[in-house]
Amino acid sequence: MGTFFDSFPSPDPLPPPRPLLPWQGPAELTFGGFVPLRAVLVDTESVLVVVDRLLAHPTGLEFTVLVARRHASDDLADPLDWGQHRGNGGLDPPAEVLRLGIAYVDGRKASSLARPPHWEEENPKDPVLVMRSGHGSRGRWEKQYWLWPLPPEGPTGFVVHWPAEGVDEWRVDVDGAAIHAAADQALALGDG
Amino acid sequence: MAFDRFIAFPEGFEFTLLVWSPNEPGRTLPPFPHWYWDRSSPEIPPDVIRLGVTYPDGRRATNLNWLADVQGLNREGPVLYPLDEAGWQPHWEQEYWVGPSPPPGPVSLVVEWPAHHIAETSVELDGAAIHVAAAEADVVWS
Repeated sequence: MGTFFDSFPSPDPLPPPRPLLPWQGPAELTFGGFVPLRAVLVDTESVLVVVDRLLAHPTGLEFTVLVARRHASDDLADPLDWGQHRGNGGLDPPAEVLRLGIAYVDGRKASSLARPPHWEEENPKDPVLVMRSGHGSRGRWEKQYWLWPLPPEGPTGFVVHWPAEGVDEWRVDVDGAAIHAAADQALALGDG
Repeated sequence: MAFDRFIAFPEGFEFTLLVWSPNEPGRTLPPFPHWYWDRSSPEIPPDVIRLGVTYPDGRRATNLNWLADVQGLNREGPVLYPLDEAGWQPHWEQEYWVGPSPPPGPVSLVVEWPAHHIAETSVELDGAAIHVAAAEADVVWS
């Protein structure tokens, strides 16, 4: 019987998890209000990009981006994940990366290409768009995003640009009032 | 535990089970059976969340049969199996698919979590609301 591994001290217990900062995701134990909107950003002969399942919180907006190729594909590389397309290490996103952005009515912007704030940053200067979860492969992907902060009332633009698919920059506005009305319906349970 | 984010389709519906479990500092895996248990063992671990659905006509499904359901072995249905997941201790989010679409009438969701002394508990869904939402589903490509 070996003693090598037993000779290491037991690790200290993990500290309690820290609540998410507002730009990192919805507050714990809050349930977003449903926004009855669906935005088709791209609908070509080859690809479809749809924003769906919008849930509004007082602190931000959850939504799902669906990307689908019309024809069967062996493409395993996620078009929304720049990390899978870095190739030889270039600093500019290659054409295969789907660029996604949000245009606030007051001129502020968020982009899927922007470098996220440092994890400890409590109050980033600019809006933040982060991918929280998702799945997909072989020509179909679904990704859940968190946008912080909640856009102000007024038209909120979803902007897409996908050079490899011949999709020039394109913007679809959704109703900011509907987002705010849904945020008013968000439910907070407990004290988190 | 809470159910949220119900999305209805003509073929069935999705929902998300949200779990807030701050008193499990040692847990590293989500508390759902598909993470580490495939029913090859007769014992159901007490720390997995049992989840079930009952249709108005009495048919039932459970996440304990997720493997057969996701492999298409449960041809009679209904099926209940996991989709996307998110979160980390102490907050877990697990999406589930239920199909086919239930017949009209109330649909029950049932949970039990022995490790936390949560006895079998059910909530009733308005089946009509599921059908109304399914009628709003869009087919973008056909």
